[in-house]
Amino acid sequence: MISAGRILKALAIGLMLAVPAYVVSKVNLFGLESASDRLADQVYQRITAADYGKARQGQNAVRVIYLDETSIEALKGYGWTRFPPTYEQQWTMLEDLLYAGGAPPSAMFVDFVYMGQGGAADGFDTFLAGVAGATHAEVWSDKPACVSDPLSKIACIIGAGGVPIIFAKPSPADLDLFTDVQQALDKVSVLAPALVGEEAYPLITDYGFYRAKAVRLGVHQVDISPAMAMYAAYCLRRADGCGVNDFQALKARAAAALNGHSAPRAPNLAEVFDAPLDVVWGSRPDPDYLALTKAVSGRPANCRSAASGWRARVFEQMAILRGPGSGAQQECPYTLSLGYDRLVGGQGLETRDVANLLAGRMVMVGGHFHASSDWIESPVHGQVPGVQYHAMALDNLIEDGVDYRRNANAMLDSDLLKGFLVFALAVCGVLGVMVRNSLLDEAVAEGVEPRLRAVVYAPLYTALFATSLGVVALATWLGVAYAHRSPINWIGLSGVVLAFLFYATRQTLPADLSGSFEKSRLVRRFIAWRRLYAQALRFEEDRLLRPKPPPAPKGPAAPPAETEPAAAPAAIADTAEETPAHVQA
Amino acid sequence: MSKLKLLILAALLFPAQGFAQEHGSVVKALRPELRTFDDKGQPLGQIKASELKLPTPIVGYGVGNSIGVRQGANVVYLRGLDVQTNAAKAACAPVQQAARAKGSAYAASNMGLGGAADCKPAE
Repeated sequence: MISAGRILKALAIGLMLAVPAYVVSKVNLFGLESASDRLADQVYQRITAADYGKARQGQNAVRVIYLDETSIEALKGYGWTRFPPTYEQQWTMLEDLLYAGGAPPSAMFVDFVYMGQGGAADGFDTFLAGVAGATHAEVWSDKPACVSDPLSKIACIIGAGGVPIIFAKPSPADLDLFTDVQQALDKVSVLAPALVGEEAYPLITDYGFYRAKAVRLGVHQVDISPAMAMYAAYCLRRADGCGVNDFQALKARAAAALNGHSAPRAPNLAEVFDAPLDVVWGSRPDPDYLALTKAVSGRPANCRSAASGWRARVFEQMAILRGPGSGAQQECPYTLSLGYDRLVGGQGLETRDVANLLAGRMVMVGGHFHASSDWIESPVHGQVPGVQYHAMALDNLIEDGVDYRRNANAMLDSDLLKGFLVFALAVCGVLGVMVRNSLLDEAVAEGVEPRLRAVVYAPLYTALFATSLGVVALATWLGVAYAHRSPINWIGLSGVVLAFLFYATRQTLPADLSGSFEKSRLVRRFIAWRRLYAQALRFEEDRLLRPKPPPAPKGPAAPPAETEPAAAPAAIADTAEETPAHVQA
Repeated sequence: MSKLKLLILAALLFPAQGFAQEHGSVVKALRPELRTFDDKGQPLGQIKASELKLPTPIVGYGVGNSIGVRQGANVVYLRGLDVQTNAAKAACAPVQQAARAKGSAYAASNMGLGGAADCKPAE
């Protein structure tokens, strides 16, 4: 049915499509390609958001305590009469979060960047002493093995019985500055670069600085992101170390260092957490959040009802119904979040609520200030504060561990993968069309009625289109579920595949399908309308491309006769539609 | 004591008792030392928990729902986080939905219980 020559032809056509597709991806003109990749990821997330985190491991562990404009206004009742609040006031806040729950949190991340002191009366010394006391810095800060890298530092803080406190800092790659305040904080706590990219959340970053520069910028071998630092604290507190041997090794190393023994070499966790994280957003709000809201405000949380499956998600994500971040009712946060002023005011909160919020949790403190620039776009929620991004990244790590979703664009040549898929799909499509042509030849030879041909063609076309789209869907799902990669650009690939298939069958598809129904009056009328429409479209085209006059006969020239411009091409086209055509590949 | 004096005393006491019942009472101190503020939020220092006679009625609420209790001749305001209360209810009604026009809000307006924006004085 299909000769080797035809297969070679199909391969050539596939190559002809795949190479330009790869080049277009690489050129990334106006960023269209990367925007398309991002969109594919976002749509995939919107559809699957309701299925994320069914076990609620992350939701049970992570908490967000925030400050915003209204919090600051309410906190005027507690002496917060200036902005930003003094270091002493901020230490009061951290102290509340450390001790008000009855037991301290497992770890705390503070998403505020401290650059300098506010003045002698600002209370920085109190702040620093408080942080040092919470992390038990006097036990570990003089041990070289404990300060060699941030992960070892966290292990030593936990080994010493303290609470790891992670402060945000600008990335040394972005800002060539390490202030006195940051140096002081670095001695008693952990600093993590918090200005992370939206598309890829880094976990362990090796800047490749030479030693002097690394020392000057306070980089201890590598930097770890806030979510990675918190996840390390989470795993180091668990007996099984989250199933990662390197965390167990880190624990043993910290114990040896704290006991004054020679510490073994630090494990290289960058080999385990080898790629940036593609943050997956969940859509179901924490039930504790809903209960807490009702207790405090006396009525249910003003959230959108959460769709409970991918079909409902597809339906609700239609922009005309409600896009992400639109409408008076918003998606509620995935992570349990509470304004600090609410905690201080205590209205509606029982002691057990405060314990549930803070004791043994991974507490992330940050700003929800509308006037700040620390906002990112969540595909599920719309605009969200940066601290929610860190919280969601931590949630991903707790839920998925080392099988977290890696950002494929940041780790392999995804354009090559897309090019290969285009190639494979084009080859399959061309072979499918060739099969169709062979079937046509056989049908004509056997004198099969044209209206019966749909019995053969309909399954063929259905299989051709469905298989092509199915392969794209399968590749997307396999990549996410088993390879733990961000979804491929399934929208672009599906578009390319459909466009190619429709182009390849642009003549045969209508003819084959209408061939079965042409005896129906309705279909005949439809075909007549379509011809009229095609005729109308050709009108202007024919005026532009007037047919060449026939060569003038020898002898005295006669004036050229006025001809009907559209008659000849239309007649040709009509004739072509009457008989099924082979594809001109 | 004349009947008139008794009536006046009753008239003075009963409303106060009703007021206290309406606002609830502080029944336990959760910290050894409690931060105190005035009705405008200016810090007044700290008092020892033992100095507070418990249970004590809540006489009112200050800025940010601080809890007002009598301390000697004065009223001081405490943080709700530092004390355990019984039947305490500040005058507050959530206005989340009414505060936002359709499509005008950031999603994070709903990110948590919020602060003053979530409440308006009950009418």
